[in-house]
Amino acid sequence: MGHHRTTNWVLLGILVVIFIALMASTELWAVTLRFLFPEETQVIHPRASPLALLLEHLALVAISSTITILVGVPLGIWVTRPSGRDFLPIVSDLTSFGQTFPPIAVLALAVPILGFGVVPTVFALFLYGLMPVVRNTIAGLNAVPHHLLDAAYGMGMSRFQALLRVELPLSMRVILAGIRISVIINIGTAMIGAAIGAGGLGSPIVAGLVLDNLAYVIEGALPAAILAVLVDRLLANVENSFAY
Amino acid sequence: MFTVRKTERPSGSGNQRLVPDNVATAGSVIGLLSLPLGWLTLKSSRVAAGTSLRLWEVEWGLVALFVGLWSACLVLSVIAIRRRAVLLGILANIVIVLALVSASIEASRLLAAESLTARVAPGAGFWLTLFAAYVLVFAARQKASPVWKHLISWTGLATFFGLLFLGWFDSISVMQEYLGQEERFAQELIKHVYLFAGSVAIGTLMGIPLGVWAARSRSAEKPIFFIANITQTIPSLALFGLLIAPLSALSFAPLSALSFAFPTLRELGIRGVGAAPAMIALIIYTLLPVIQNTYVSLRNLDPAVIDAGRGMGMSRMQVFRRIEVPLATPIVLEGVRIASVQSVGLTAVAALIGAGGLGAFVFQGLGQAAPDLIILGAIPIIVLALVVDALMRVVIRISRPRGLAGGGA
Amino acid sequence: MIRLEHVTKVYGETTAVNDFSLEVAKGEVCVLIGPSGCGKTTTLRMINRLIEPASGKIYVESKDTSQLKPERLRLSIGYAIQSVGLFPHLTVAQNIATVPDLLRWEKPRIGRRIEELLALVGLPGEYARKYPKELSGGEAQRIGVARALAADPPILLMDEPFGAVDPLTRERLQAQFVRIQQELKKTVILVTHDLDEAIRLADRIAIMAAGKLVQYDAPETILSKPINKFVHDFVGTDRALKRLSRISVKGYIRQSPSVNIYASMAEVLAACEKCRWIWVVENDGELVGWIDRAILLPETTIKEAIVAVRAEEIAVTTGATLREALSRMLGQGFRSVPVVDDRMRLIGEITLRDIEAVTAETEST
Repeated sequence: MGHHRTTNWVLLGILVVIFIALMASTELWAVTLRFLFPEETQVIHPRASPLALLLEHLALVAISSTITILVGVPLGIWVTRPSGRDFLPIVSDLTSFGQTFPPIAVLALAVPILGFGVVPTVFALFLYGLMPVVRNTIAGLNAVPHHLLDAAYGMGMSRFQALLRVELPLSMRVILAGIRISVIINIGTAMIGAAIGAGGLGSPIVAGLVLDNLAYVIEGALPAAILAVLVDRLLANVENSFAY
Repeated sequence: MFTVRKTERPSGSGNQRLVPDNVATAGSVIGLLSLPLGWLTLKSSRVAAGTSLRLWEVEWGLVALFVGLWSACLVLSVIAIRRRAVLLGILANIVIVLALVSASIEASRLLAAESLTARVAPGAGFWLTLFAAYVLVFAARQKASPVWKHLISWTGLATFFGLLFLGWFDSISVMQEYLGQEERFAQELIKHVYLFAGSVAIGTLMGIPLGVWAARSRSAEKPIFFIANITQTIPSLALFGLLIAPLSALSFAPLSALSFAFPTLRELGIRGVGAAPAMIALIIYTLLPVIQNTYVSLRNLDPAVIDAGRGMGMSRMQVFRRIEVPLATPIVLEGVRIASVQSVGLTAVAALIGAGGLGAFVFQGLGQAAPDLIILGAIPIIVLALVVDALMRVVIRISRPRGLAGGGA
Repeated sequence: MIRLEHVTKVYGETTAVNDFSLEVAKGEVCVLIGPSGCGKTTTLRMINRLIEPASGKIYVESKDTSQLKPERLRLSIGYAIQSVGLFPHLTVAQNIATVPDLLRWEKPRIGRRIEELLALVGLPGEYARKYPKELSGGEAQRIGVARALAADPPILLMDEPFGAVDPLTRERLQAQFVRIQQELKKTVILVTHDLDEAIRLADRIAIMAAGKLVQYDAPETILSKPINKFVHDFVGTDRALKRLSRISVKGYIRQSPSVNIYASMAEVLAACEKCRWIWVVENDGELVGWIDRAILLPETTIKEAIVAVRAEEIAVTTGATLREALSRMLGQGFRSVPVVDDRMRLIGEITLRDIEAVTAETEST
């Protein structure tokens, strides 16, 4: 079983390296796009190189996801503890309610409050990404069988030790699944963030739509699609290492 | 004789006297904290920055009223009396009604003294007050008796819609924006509904057979799910983008230019590439939830049930129609629900490629830096998503055969 | 060692445990037993404070448990439950090492302890690296006991520890428990609903009903002198048989006449005047068969007359109980059963008469 997973890691590692190498070679992009769209005069969006766009996009997603995890997982833990149990119903209600909101609406509403650019985008990504993380943390922790907790407390573990040694390891898979969902949604929403000036892989697409330049559109769309699939498979592999 | 050493919490409502309601306390505190924040924002035009007015700058009497209400809630949350839940619920609803009504009146009053282009919008404090009231309502309805529970839960919302349709909110900025484009709003709304409903319908019609196929055939299962999973992971904007190029090459342009070009879109500078690529992408996104749920619904059927049916003498078709379909339907519909809610949002994104719909307001508002236009798009999108979600849940509940476990959708 | 004084637990309207007092001496196995809902598990869980008593005191090694930090108390008491509760994300070794790790033992010490314990419960060393999902029910239960014993606690609390396996495995686990207890001499409080298990394992049995202690005595006493109708009915009408399962054959072996297989007929006839049958042994004393005197004629040779048997099939060893002996007798239709040692050499026999005498003692009360 571990053998299978190691091959997965190696494969994904290779794909990631290839992907980054391709993104770094702006010339290759230029040549390919010129070939596909001979009628366009400019094929690479002048704002930044493909690699720079990729890094911008990754930065947006990474920052917002990190804050989401740092806020969401402790929140999910807290509402399943005796001290926070009173708040479990309302937090559950809010997160499933919030999940129904289309991400674009959350992004749009951030603008009147926080203006344009990176800040509202990161804020909207953080807020929207919170839902799956909190829900999955709660679900994962609640799914730990009671008799295991009984054994743990009976042995002499304190509540904190049981959380650290038993509950969290056993919930890890579900929590990671929530993080994966959150990150993938964020990659998608960050693309729309380009429309409010956050940069990233969405900006050539938006520019391309405005200027009627399909080469720009592909320059943004293709890497974004590949990025999303790669990140999804990477995180899925991490998840699977927690199968007990 | 024994003595109870600790205050254990036995069942029954009597002993809740001693316990402060944490959630209600939190709500009351948030309510009090919301008061110093900006209540209303006054702008000289729809794109100007505007000044934020605090509650006391708007009307002193309101300060006294709100402080009084929130303090009462706080006291009730901490110290309990009989029927506390009902009282809290009533107080919370009073807060809501007061906030809504006073906002409307004060907005009109402020606008009367300003120029015709001036706008008034609710500020952070206002929204936080409503949120705090929601928290209190939530806390109260958990412990109230059934009759009161419904009154507490729905009065606020009912008041909102009542006032809305009576025109009380017409002086608020968003409504002013709306009143300026009523006709267009209706058109975009209809377009939005056509797009997402159409794509969900077609996607469902395609997805169900695919799901059935995947459930029946081991060899079909892997490729179907592989493709469906990958497409679901691709960001919507990217998928739209990837579809535009080949479709343009196939000269869909005339088609889209015909049906969906609008003067306002040319304003945006977006070529009417339109609904075709959007539709295709939306259908693709509908596929995974529907396929997955169809697959699961069939796979999870207890084989013993089918066996019993065959044993009774039913043909394969009869077993399918009378047993598998009724049992699988709720789960499949659940997939359709997920797809529908998702589709409302994705359709909004499609406005960027000229498909129209409520997203057009959002992107136009972003382009003009006009927050009211943005909100005019964003809020209806959210409301539409919520309505679709609620409607689908009702449909699912109806479709569930009586006698099956009534788990929540 | 463990003392409960007037312990009571109330849940809302129900009194789960009612004025319960009990004392368990060091090294004793006390079994709590009773019908469903009698409060035995609640009582057990109050000892390690997983449940707090409403009133009353519990003393462990003369210390008032309510004055100790619950975690500290539990670290010093072994706890084994029916569902075992092995942590699925940890190996067997890591599972066993849990409490020593919490107590901050050094790694080498923990490693040695794990080896010791695996040997104690009769599992090979490779099991240390396995995961719980790879274990059978019986193996998991043994690891559960090993885990409970890991930090060498003086006290062991067990809640239906052998409940979740098939009867054959349960047999083996009980035998193993008896063996381990003989070696380690822990103070054990064990909850079960199986009376046979209680009789087999306990030094003293505490019978509970509706939260109250009804009788607390050694198994023989419970069987021979039930204190009231409830206990009498609870123990059941086969008290006598149950009692036999506690008594080893060792005290009841009679000398039995035997002859060597190479002996002459005259020697056979002379061996025992009044016996109906005679056992036949090999040169080294191994039991090989028997002869029915009634069919003997002076000309018959032993080889013709002998009914050959296999000792393992018809005899009991010295470690057996009277109940097994009786079972063999009835199964074979004899009135006696030979007793052999571990090399199948004849030691003596047990007769039906002797067993009847033992059971008569029981029934007469």
